[in-house]
Amino acid sequence: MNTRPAPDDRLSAYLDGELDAAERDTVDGYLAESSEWRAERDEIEFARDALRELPVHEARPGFWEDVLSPDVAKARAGRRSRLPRLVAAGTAAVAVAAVVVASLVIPSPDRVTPRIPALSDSHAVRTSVSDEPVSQLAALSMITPFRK
Amino acid sequence: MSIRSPRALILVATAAALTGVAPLVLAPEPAATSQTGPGVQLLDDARRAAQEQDFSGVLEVTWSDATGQHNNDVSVRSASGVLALGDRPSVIVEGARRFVQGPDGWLAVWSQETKPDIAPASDKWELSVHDGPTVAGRPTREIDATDRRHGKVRERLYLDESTSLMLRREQLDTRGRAVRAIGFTSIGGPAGTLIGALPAEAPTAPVGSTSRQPHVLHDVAAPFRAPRAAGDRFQLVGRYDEAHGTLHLFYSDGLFSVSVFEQQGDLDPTGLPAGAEPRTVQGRDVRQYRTPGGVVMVWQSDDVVYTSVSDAPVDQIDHVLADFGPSPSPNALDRVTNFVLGPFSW
Repeated sequence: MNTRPAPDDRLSAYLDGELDAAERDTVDGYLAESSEWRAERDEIEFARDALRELPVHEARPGFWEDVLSPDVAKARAGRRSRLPRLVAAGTAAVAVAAVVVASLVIPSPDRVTPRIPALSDSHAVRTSVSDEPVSQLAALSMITPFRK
Repeated sequence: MSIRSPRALILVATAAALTGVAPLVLAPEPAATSQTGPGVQLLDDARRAAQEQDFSGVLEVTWSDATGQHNNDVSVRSASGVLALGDRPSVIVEGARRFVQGPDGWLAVWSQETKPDIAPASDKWELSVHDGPTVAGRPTREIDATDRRHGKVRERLYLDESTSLMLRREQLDTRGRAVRAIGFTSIGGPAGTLIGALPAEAPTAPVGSTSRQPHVLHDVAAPFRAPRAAGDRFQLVGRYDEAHGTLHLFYSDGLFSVSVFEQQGDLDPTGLPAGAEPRTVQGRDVRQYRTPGGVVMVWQSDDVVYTSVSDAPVDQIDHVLADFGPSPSPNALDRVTNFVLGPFSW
């Protein structure tokens, strides 16, 4: 039965020289027996080397004072973030105002229900002027469910 | 100039051939020869006879809708140039004047003479005249109006042989079935009395009435529209301002007429009469009613509610709808407004 665990945080500690002798022997055994442990070790080493090769820049003057003075840094952060918030709030207010004004200035369409019997009568009357009147006007004198 | 290149010769020959063919390809449908033959003359006579002849009779109006066929009788009297319909009566015609009985008395709904600027029916319809059947005991001349494109008779009119009074008219669908008819079941007076005898109670025009006449419009402002022609050769012959901000456009093809009413707003269907038949016409949802007087269609496009009323066959009205569709393209302000207010359904 294989009791070897999967690679874990002991690899980072191993590479940093932070393990005691017994733990170090154990990890050495895993690395000798397991290609999985070795591959994990190689990846961690590659990442550590890459980080070490990044250029180092001097901090701007006053950076460390800011970091070490939380109150000052917090106050500055507050000033910086207030402007975008004001812009966003102003934009939202203008948008709301535009919608309100538009709703007042642009008339909303009325709800329309055509009075069909009346419109039918208007058509019949107009048609009867230029067409044979008896056949065109007969429907006006009828009481039907449609005309109520 | 000489042309030596074979390619140039081919081009010239092709152009010449196309020039010769173009008139055949590009020429519009041959216009029907404008004729004012016996059919048109008889129709004019029938219009006059209804008011010039003295008679009384009973009309039967027959129509069909989704619930089946219906009929209704209407009494008619005409004497000394005054025509009355209904028992009370409820409609009076005197010359160009039209009166309708309202709940509180007579309403004067029309009084204007109209210009005879409607194209003759024969410009669009082939009118054939021949001896017709006996209607209400009287011999008739029959006018058949045939659709020139499909060769189908769509309307039959039966005129009294001696007076030209229209005794009956029938509208046929594309399969030749009568879908609406109106005709005298009896005409004259007591047995033996001929047309020309004064009715027992001669109708008279109302002495007092309330004006409900529409106003003639010369221009139509947006969002309304008033195309000068609509559908299959229906010509705009009148624009009127009806009550409640309603625009009334009146179209005619000489035989049938179509009224298109326009109202600004969104259609509220809850108050419409029951019995609408839902249809899709020209890609639009249409509510259709078949009534004794013709077909009514209601639809909405953009911010305008349209109602058409017509005595024309339904397929003729369908073509009219195509000319009252959405605006070609909204302007920039409309697009912005729609974008901003669209989500709020304003």
